[in-house]
Amino acid sequence: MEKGYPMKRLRLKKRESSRMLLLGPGLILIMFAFFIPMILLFIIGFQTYVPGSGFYDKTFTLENFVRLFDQYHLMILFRTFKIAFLASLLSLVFGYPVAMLLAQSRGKKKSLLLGLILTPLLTNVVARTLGLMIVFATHGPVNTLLGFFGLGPFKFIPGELGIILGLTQVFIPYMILSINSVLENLNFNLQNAARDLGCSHFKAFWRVIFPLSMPGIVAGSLFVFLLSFSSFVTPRLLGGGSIMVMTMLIQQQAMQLLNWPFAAAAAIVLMVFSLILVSTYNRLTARIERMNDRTGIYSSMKFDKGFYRISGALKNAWYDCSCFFSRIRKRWFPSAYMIKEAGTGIAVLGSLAKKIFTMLVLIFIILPLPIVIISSFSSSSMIAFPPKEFSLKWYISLASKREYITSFLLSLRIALISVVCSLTFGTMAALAIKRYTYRFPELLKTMFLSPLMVPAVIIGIALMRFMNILGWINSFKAIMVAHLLITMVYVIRTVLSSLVGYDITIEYAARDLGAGPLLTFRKITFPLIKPGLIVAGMFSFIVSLDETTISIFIAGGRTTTLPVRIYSMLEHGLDPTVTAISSLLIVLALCILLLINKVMGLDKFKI
Amino acid sequence: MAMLTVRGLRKYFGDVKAVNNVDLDVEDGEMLCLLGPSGCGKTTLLMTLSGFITPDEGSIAMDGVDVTHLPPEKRPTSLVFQNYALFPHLTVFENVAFGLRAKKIPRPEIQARVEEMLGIVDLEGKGGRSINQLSGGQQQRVALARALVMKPKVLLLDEPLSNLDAKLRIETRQQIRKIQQSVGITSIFVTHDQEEALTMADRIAVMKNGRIEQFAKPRDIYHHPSNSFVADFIGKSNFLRGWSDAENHIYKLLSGKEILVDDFTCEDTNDRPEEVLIIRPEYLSTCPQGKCPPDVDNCLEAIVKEVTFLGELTMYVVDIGMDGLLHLTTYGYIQQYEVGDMVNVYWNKSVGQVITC
Repeated sequence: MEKGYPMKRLRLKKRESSRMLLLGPGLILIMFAFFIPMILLFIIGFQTYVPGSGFYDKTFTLENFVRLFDQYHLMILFRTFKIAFLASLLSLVFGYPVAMLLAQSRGKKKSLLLGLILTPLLTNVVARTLGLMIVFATHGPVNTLLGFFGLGPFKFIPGELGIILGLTQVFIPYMILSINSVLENLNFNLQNAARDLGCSHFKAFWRVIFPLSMPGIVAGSLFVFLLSFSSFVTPRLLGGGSIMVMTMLIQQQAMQLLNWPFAAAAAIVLMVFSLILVSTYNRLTARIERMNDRTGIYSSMKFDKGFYRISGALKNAWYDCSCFFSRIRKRWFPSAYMIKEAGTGIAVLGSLAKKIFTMLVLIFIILPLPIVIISSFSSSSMIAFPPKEFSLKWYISLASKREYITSFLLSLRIALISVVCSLTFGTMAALAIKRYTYRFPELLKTMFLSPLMVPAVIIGIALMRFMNILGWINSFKAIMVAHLLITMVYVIRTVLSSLVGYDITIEYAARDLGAGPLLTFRKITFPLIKPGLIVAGMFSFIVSLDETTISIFIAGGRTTTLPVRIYSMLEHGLDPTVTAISSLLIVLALCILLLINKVMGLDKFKI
Repeated sequence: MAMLTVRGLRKYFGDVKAVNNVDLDVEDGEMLCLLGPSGCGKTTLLMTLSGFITPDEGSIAMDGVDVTHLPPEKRPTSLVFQNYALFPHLTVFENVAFGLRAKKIPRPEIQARVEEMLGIVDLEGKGGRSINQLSGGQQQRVALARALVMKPKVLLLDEPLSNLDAKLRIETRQQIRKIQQSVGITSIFVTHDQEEALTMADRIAVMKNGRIEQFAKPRDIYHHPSNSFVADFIGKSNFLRGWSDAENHIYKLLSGKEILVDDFTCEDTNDRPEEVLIIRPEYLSTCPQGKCPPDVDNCLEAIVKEVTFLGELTMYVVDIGMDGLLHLTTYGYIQQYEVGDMVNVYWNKSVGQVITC
């Protein structure tokens, strides 16, 4: 078609305005609640702190960054990395067999497994951490169990081991889902082919399935590393406040020592690390997608280059050695090479051990939730598991505690408003992103999704600083802005992913048949994206209800949301009333999970 | 002595009898085809032979050794998978070398054997390629090489040609047959395509519901099907219902017409199963009405119902009244008929055959 065609030009102008109308609210929100606060925080990082005053002056300095690299702060950075590394390693070791099981199961069994894995993810992080505190307590179930074997009792919490185990429990679902996304598309006949060619069951796995699942392993590990490294609530509660990690350092500097420039500098460093991790992760997942399109990840690798040449030589040498030893063994122990029948002892034991291990991991993933619920019926005023006597005492005391009720109602109100507003704005923005072509197609999407890539602690202190400037701190407006921001990001992502298979030309068809834009949306677009919208709505409801880290920074006084209330209770010691309210939150998460399952099926649900 | 002996093999999945009392004897160097419609148990039988499925009953022996309870990695068989199951993270060479490496064969020997094998399957110099860079036919040959390089006693192929397009299929079919004969390996392949079975196999086992219905050479299967299932599954057949009078070589149709037949294959027992007369369409001839040659054994009046022109041959469907419709095929340019023409259909008694239903 010719460029200067008058009709088309007219149309474009009209579309320009409707595009801005769709994008507008979302853009304003993300600018106001994310980009401006982040830029402000970035500037503060280079300003000079006036000790003891809580103020800072505007002279440019790099001193904050230099200070971050002194011995004490390097130690904190190192510890943060160590904890995150060990948590991702544990998640990998624990998660892989579960991912295998998930990839190989179908139908009801698969839904059940997904339910087991996703329920903790949708449960409030504070409630889960409470469960972990009970599980790993000095006289908790894990120590009791270990006691039977004559081990322990170990002091998991407060301590690094507790934090690592806790982070593993909290983030292992991401590892499982990530590995599963690769395994699911893997042809398990490959394992059979390897066995047909003379490999044992284990060798067939090790030589074929494991290398092929590498992209999923790396992506999952990176993701768990990133999440562990930027998490705040879990290390704070399980470390008892005595084990400092980067996020806690930022919080402490900003809120207790009021050294904002230094907190901002630490935040910038943390953010640089997490952005590197996120971009690596994104590249890898894109690669996995491409691999699933059968184009192949390995075909692009160059095998004759330096590293591969060295590793190839090493592999060859190793192979020659093993050939040599196998020949010696064959000569001296010919009986080991006699034809053996299937189902020999080791194979049976191996598969049994694998089953038991997988079961234990599944129990580990889900355990904190039932434990919280069971403990909530205890009659003792110390949280203990298993409870000696049962009563409804704490539910009754819950009803009499005004602050919990007001917090709960506040959280509910915020969640409902968030769902309505962010569904509207988020869907509009997602539709605009999908419908129109842009000069930089990825830029807008990245802009809208970028709050997901930044650790919540950083968003928290950035927003807190900004709200302070506006004089909105501790106000309902402030907390509402924060919740709108994160729920909208999730809505945009969910709606965008449900729009993947959506063919925009059917909208043109409707318009061509005489329907106006509103009628087209009502009759065509809306019915088609409805399942996605319902899931986005439920998901953003739960995200808002669970949101803790950002709220810790901006909520206070009358605007204390429920998770923040529970968090501050846990910070100061265990009050059994907390178990009652946490149980209610767990049951709520379960209900939403069942709803999501009903609306779209868990296997299509993406976190 | 038979290379592969199967006795009384059974495998049930719940109520489904996937393999039901199968006996097989495959000679050394023979190419056997398991042919049947989908769900007849042919793949289950193949998987039982390769060791991925343990049979409920029965025994499998290869070269005189009982292998019934051996796991797949210990059996002297190699399987070519339907979708090839090539390892996507390995090159062509590494794929073919995979089994040898698992057996800890020294590297120089691996090099020599793999290269020789790649030569046999016409993939010389392609060892460094990645699997994804190969065409479907080449991938098929890599899978074949990967299986053959292990020097198995029995080569198993699961629908080896089903992933190729029609033209390539014919080419690859001949190639596989040539390689199989030059290596001289005992092979068993599974297919649902009768043309593949007829062209490639030394012997065919036609399967239905887990049972072997007939086990014979391709020509025997085509010309002397043992029952109506085989006759229907392989080639096209006309089925005419009636009663047989074997002593007088007469078959009485439903309409009362008497047909002369030489071949009564069905067993003459008291509780006789239903019988049916089959005639292949190409054995039937036509002529304008009333012009039947005088020396033919059987001649029926018919009306042309359908004409399908296929170039080198023409297919007719004619109505012979109460006994139903007959399909027939004529080759080249003979008398052409139009729909509605009155014709005679005739054939000699040697081409008809009465078999069990």
